[in-house]
Amino acid sequence: MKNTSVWILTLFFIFVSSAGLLQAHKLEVTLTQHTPVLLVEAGYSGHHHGLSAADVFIYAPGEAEKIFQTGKTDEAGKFAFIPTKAGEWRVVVDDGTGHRSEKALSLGDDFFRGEKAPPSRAQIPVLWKVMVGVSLLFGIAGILYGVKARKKSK
Amino acid sequence: MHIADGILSTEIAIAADAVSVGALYVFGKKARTEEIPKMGIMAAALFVASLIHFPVAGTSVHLGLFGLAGILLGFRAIPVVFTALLFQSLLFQHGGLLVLGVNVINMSAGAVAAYFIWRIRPVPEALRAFLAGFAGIMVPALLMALEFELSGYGRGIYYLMSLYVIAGGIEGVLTLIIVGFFRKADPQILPPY
Repeated sequence: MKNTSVWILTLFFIFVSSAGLLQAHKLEVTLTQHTPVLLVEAGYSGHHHGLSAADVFIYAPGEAEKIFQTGKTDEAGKFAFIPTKAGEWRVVVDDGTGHRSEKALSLGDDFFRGEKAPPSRAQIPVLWKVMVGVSLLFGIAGILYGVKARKKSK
Repeated sequence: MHIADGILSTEIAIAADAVSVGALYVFGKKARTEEIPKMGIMAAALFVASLIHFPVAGTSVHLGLFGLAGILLGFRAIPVVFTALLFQSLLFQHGGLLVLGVNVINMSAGAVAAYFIWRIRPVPEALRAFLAGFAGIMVPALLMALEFELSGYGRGIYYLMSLYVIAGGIEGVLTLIIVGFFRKADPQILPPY
């Protein structure tokens, strides 16, 4: 492969990456505590509106197989329910086209007393994830190229 | 386009994983040294392409570049698709890790279909490029819709296919533009079939 070809493909890759970094496509679910209600919000990351009419499945603590409650998100991509006990509540959101996201939240007794929940941990920015992924892919290709070239020269 | 974990049965997912790992080995092993940089760049492009998405009818469809991978790499696109999907699953949670094999088979089928379309000599290059890009999305979408239909999941095959026709059209036009650019800038990138 000529050097020019590599440079042109690299240019094309940079174009795709920069367009990709402006957006993201993951189905994201956030759970927020509003005693006595747990609010589920679903939406595709990068979209400014919520995901409406998605199926929501709620699983109570200690009951991994049995559905506690089911329903659909409203026009704003929201769904709310009232947890009945402390423990880890699991929420699955499915849009019916293959996108599915699951989130779990541990509720302590403080939730039922109406105390404010601690802020959730910050997520890793998409840019970092892209940089990690691309670096690893180029690294793997580089190692394979080196190994193959070495074998060829022997 | 990326199937999440928990939708298809575990047995099917594991069988597909075994097939895709086998395909990775067979087609990856045969790769020539001079093909590796092209494969690395395409894997990186596929990895980020899924971030470019379009809201369609209340859901979200995204680019895949599987057609372009098929044109440029032929059967070598299979290990490239495998690697890109693995990293998408690990870093972006696009598609499940257990169903990685199913996703690899679906999307590699799109790349392979594109490769065969690209080789139809009597058809003008621009039309071949568009159809290859279109098939690169539509073939995986059809396979995914069939898998959903068989497992009794989702909103139905016609709904899913109508969503992806739009994505396929966008991808077809994009592939046509990219192939046109490569033809002008450096025709050596395009394989001489």
